[in-house]
Amino acid sequence: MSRLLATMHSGCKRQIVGSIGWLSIGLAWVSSASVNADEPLLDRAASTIGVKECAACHSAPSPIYERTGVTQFVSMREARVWLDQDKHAVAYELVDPATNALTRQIIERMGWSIDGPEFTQQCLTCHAGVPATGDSSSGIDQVVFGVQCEACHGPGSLWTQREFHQQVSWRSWTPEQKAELGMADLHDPATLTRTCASCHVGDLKQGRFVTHAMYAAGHPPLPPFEPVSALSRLPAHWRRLEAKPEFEGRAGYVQANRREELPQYSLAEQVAIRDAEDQSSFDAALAQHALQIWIDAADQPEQWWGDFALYDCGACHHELQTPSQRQELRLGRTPGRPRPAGWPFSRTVLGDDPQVQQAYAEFDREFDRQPFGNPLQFQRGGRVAQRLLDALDASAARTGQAMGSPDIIAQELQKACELEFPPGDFAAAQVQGEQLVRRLERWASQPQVSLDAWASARDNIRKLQQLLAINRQLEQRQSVLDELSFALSAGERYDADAVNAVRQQIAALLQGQVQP
Amino acid sequence: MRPSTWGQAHHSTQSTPDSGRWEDCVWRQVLFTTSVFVVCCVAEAQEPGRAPAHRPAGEVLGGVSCAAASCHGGRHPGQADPQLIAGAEYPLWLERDPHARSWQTLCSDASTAMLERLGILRGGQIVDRAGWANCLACHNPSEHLDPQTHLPPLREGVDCEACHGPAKQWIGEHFLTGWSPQQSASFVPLKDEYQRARRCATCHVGGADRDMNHDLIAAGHPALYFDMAVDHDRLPKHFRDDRLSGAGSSMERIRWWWAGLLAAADAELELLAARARKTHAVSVWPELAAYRCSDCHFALRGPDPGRAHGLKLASSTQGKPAPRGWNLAGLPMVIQTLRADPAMTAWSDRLADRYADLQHALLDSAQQPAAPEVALIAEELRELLSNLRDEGRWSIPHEAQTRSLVAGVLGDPALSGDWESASRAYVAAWSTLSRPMAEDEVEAMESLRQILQFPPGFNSSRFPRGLKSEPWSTSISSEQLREWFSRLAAAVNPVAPSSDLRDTP
Repeated sequence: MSRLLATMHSGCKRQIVGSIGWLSIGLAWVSSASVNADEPLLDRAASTIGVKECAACHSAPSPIYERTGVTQFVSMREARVWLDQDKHAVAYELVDPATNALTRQIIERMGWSIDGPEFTQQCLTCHAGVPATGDSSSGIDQVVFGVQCEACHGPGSLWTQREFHQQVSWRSWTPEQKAELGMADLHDPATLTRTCASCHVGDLKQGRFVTHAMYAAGHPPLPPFEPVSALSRLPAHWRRLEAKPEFEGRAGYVQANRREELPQYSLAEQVAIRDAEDQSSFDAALAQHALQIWIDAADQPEQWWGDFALYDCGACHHELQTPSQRQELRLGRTPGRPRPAGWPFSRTVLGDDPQVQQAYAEFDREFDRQPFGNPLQFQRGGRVAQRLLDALDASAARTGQAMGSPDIIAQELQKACELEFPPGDFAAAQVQGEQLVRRLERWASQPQVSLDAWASARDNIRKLQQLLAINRQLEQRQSVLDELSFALSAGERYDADAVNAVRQQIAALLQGQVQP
Repeated sequence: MRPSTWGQAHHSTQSTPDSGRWEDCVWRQVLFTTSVFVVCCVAEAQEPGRAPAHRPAGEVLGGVSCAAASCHGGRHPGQADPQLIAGAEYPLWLERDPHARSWQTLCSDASTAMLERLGILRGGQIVDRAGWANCLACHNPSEHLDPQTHLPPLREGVDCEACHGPAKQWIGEHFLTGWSPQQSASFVPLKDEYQRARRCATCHVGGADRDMNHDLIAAGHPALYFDMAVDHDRLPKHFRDDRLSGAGSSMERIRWWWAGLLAAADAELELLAARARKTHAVSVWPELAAYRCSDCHFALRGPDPGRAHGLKLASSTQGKPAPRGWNLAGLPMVIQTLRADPAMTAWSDRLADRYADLQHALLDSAQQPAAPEVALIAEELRELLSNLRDEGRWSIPHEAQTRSLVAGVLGDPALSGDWESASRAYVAAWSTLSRPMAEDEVEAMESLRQILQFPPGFNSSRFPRGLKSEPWSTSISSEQLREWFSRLAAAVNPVAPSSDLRDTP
């Protein structure tokens, strides 16, 4: 831990960052992981190599990359974009106990100590991508870099060996082949969702979970997470396939990634079509991920079951007024029972799959029977959890079928416009609102949409953003606490009727009947 | 009823009753005891298998049976002889006492809405018998229902027999010379403070057969905050307590307050044990009503320096609500009183240990409170209290001791931290302050009352998180609050410095 403390020092971070630029110039095409060439590749599990190794190449496109056409395929500026713009790069730095009083308060109220194991195992799992095992030898000396390359892309020790991923032939490896070497397939909506949700929603097995005790000690409430919108707010250090200029091995890459190209459409349209097609896969993956948390909690009920953080914050945190809308909305349900947060499920449940709807209703009802629910029903193989899991799996298998046509954009927007915003569930409304905004943007970006319609779309997007406190872009070093006050007060003022009025305006816009 | 517990004398100045008539013993006890508060423990309550005495079995006749003009339906109070102590009980109750309207309350629009939210009433029909019985247990306790309508035959609210016991067995003889209450198991004596408070607590706190639990509160029922001193003071009386010990003295409110604390603790422990034993028809463990309302029910707002999202929590609770202390507040006081007597160390230690265990079990056992553990501890605590009363080992402290105890409570710096303890302290001050209050005492009490009362339209307090930010308390700071309480502490106990008495467990 003393090593950790030493590296925590921000001066040290500046040194490391400074060295990246120098390294990157000279080290092109040199595999920097020191591996014995005789060692069989898959004898050991992939391990992390650290951001320095990645950044050695991926921070600036040196002339040699341009000459060899590498930059046609990848920008080679990924680490730079991440370091300069992405909040993930400061996920540790902004909460560093040396500088952040709130972190010290949380540690103190939790009864931990700054150099104790809990801080590593319960905070740095998300804030620095430290593995749940608490294996401090694995990348821990780089916590200063926060959520770094390998936290999402997978441990790099294997694919960086023997110049695998530097070869043009790497481009035609299938995602499965790459995964064998430890590289995560972030093209896949399900994998991508799981990766983000692991921190942004929680993951008990990975030691990534903000417990209610941690919230009470001062951790800001995690906002509801909508993967597509969240990704769109992230400063992109990647390029979509559609946005990549011609590169060597393109055909093999497209085939390996099973991504059909749509050359007849503009770049923006292609992206919008693919996004629209993928949306339901993202939704299903989010619901599956959230359900997995319940299953994991039920599997270890002594440790997890009944932790208030599993439940909807608003189920308890409200003022006591009678009569109230809260009571009327729950008519027919047992009053006074904590509920699971509905937002991760709301999109799939609002879909048109009756099996999912029924299984979710049963899941939700289970919390009526006894306060906090009975873990036996939610365990692996437990009746309620299993039914919902099966329904979501079946639903996920049916989703994501490519239409390859811009029709899907208007179709999806049309569908989204028909869904009522739920009264009394601000978090679910936020998720729904984010998707509506995203769909509206996709629709408005099409060439045939008139300037007037585009301006009206912009107005409606702005209204939704205001009413639902969504899509607000934070500067890299801006604290989420700034956002929090805004979101919490928007939540208190939340009025489903007002949002539904905007929704109807969008529906009218879609039919070419814009209301003044 | 066990007459021996009545007759026992525990004080050197107390004369041992030696006359033959038990009733005489009672009155001698009541009349002559000024420094000893002997609490009757009802024997039935301790013997498993028998109905608890606070809900004795027996046939109910209805209030009208008591209301004959020559019995309890006598002259209208306005015309009554000022010296008259009996005769007009029924009309007094009917015309003034809100208990006479508790059935109507249950029939109101607000209650109907609650019944529908709870799924007890659907489409105008009672569909949940157990839930309905739970409502009636307090709102209209005459038990037998029409099997068709599920309505009680007598709709009189909390009538005579609800408190005094089912009358069939004794109505014909209770006025006869020589009749004594112990001749009928279904007659409930209410002539001493503890008995009466315990009777009130069966509904105003709850018990093994009735539970105003979290589901009901969520459906809209106001949470219960029983306090015998205040509630008894406000109750329109159909009886006279002139012959009670301490009547009219500075000890009068204090005695009701103490009796209420003990009665509430006993009822709460009975309720808690039944919830945890899972024998309650309407409650499902874990029962959220066992926790402090305001610990969860506050709206999440923006970050507030010094507080986590506007909530100031003791770091030891780590985001868990503290067990509701309202009804158990008597326990630490009993423990403290016992500690003053070296001979009672074993008792006070045992009580203190088990009380701490209960807090721990409710708060801290893994993620959810372990039901068997909570039940065991609650039952043991209840038995300890009952043994204390039974053996006369616990008595109401003398006035000076009470005053210093209350002053200690009022001087506790933790008071400005939560609504519940601040309100309890307010009630303690109200019960202890000498009347008439001095001008500055009135000012402190009135200011405290205004910030402690729930804002209009709310069933919960905004105190203390609204101390600085809410419109109705903009001018209040925790320093001001402490100032008022210490002013009251000084008034309650002008002699001893309050800091000596703060070691409440």
